[in-house]
Amino acid sequence: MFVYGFWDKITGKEYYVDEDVLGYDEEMEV
Amino acid sequence: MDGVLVGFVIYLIVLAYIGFWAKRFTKTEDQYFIGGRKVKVLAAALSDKASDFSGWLMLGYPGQAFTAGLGAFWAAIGCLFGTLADYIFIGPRLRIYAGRFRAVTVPDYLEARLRDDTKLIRILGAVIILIFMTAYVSAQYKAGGKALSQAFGLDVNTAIILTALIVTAYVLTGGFFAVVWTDVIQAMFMLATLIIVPIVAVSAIGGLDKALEIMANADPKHLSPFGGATGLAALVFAIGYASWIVGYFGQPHIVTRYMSVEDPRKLRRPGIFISGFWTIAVLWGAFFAGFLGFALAKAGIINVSDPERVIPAIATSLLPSWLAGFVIAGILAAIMSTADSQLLVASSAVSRDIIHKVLGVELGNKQMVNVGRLVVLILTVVAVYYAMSESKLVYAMVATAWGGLAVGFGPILLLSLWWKRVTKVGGIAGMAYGLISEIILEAFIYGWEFNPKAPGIFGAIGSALNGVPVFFVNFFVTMAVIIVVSLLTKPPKEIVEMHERVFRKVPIEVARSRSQAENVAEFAKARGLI
Repeated sequence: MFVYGFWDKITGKEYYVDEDVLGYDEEMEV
Repeated sequence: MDGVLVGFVIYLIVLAYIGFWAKRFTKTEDQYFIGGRKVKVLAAALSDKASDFSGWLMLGYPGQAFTAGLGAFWAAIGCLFGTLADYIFIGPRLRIYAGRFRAVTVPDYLEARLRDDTKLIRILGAVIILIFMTAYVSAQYKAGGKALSQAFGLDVNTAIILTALIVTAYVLTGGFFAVVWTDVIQAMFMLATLIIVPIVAVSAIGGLDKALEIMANADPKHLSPFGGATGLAALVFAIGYASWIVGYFGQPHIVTRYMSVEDPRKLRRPGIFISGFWTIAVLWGAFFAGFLGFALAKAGIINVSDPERVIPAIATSLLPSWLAGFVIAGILAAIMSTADSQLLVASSAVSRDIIHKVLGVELGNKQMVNVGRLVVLILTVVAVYYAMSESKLVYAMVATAWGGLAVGFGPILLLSLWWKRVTKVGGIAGMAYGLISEIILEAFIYGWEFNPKAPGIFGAIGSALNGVPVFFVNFFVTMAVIIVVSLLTKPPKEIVEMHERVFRKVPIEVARSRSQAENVAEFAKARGLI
């Protein structure tokens, strides 16, 4: 669990994420 | 009784307030079914676990620990590693695809990922969800009805209707946001209950050593980690419990939480820690409540007529009435937090997958949400009817539900997230095989486990695999079906390329790589506090 939780810190890499991946609902109030 | 009632009414007021507050986030299907993909990771992770653990955690599992003793610990291992496996293999990747495809339901995602223009994957997915989830909801209503009728002395059918009314009210008004935030409150109730009860139990009996001594005298098997089995039988015993792990991959009411979270990277940290620590704490508590409950019963401190009622028995015998009310609310919380999530997922299968996407009914945002609400209402009536009837068919569907969902969705979800070569024909073949084989094998031939009593060749297979859960083996058979059919067909080139592109890794941003403690330290330094 700990190893998985810190895997991005260990490798120094993480999944690429942008607006398109987040895909929030545009009509959301928050 | 009065203390129980006051505690329960306060609890209802909190649920009603959350339902009312969440109403503003129900303007589109995205919002109503997955919270606009903007749910805070704390809420999503706790909701994931509260939806996962039903009345089984408060009643069934302590009952197993009461009857089987130390050997029941394997089920906790299965649930914990199932949770971890979901966060490692399903969560982040499913959220990334869900955002990219704007997927609202699991069939939404599968159809887009496998580029299925036949609508068969969506129809199969919706049918699997509808059959098993409605049965699951009815089982939760029945469990809720039983708990409520015992707490307040109500007629069971009245109590079933009351449970359904409470759950449906906030699902109808507040949708996914209401379900998630009521789950958070319910997760806290469950945690508190399962911390209090074992502490009370161990102090009532006079320490763990004393409890172990009573158990060793009453039944030495209680202290064996494999229930007294040795060799191959011990391995089958452990697999029987730990097999739950693979079941986690395919539960739509659980994996939908990952699709809703605000940022896929947060499922790794803090998501895994929130759900992991919560799971360890509640399973530890539920196990010890049942395990120590056995010693309490043998010592004559409590009276347990039904092992599954060991937590209520400890609460009513050893706690003041207002605290016992708190424990009863904890049991209801476990049941309702599962029922609400399953009800919403079942309704999305009908309104989003069938009505909107398969039949092509296009209405305005608000109208689509209202169609969703109408389906919630209809499914509630069906589930209440099932819960009140003693139908053998419904019982068979409930008994098959975990395995049916695990085998129907688990292999295709896992492969579609991790293997670029999986094809739509492979997906259709796997899901169809999974659905049909699970119903035939579990509802008609074997039941939950393989056994030699089945007719013909199934008897021979049953005796070779005696005691191993059917869905555990069938999960891998279904996986093999998908792999073989996928290798015989070809996926579109652009889908393979997209799969490689979508999960690319980038160097971690400095701001994100810092821990919260580092951020707090920097803030304190900047303010001259340290």
